[in-house]
Amino acid sequence: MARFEAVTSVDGLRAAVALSGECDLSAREECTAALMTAVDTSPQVVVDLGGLTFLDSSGVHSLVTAFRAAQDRGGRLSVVGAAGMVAHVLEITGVGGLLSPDGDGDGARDG
Amino acid sequence: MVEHPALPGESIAYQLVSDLAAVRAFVTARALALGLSRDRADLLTLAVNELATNTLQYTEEGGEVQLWSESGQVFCDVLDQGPVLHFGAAMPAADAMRGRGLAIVAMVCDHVAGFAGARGSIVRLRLGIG
Repeated sequence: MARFEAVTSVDGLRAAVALSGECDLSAREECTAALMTAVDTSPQVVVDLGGLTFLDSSGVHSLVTAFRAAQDRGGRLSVVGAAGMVAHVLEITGVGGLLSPDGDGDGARDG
Repeated sequence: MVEHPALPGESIAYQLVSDLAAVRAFVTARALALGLSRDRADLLTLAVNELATNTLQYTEEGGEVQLWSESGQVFCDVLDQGPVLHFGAAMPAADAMRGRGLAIVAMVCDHVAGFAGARGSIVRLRLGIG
């Protein structure tokens, strides 16, 4: 099994958070903390899910929590790179559309 | 419904969030061995993970997972000491904070039912082989 990890890099107003490993209940606090720190420091947060091998409702909870916090601060959080089962979970929960970079999350389209 | 008799190698117990990874690995391996495709085994693993997560969040004790096959289908029981779970609620809105776990379970399995067993509450999942 691959341990969960969140690596954040900030470039100007934009923060990129790369998640990797398995994002389940055991990783939820760490995941939420990393995403909330990014949302608190940057108005544009892009979360790369390309390194995730597993995502469940706990991880979706972290993403939605941070998405709503970004909205409250007038910013935006989106996800990229989801594949396989990770993409499937985002799709069946409807959260993929909400967090899509050109989605309807806050009406902003930057494409 | 009745409890399936436990046989050696068919079940795994969990008590801590750090047990979830082992539960997932067990379910995937057993499901593949029983004949599910990789994609279907991954769906069953996701469903069991959601149920075990529910156990760990809402009950004081752990739980137990058991898989077997019968009549071209894979069955999986998840047993815990919480109340009997009910399914059928719709997937919450995309920006909702709660309620996704059990909706995911109902969505990815061919059939799901919660009932009271002799040793606790059981959720029985079923996926057709092939």
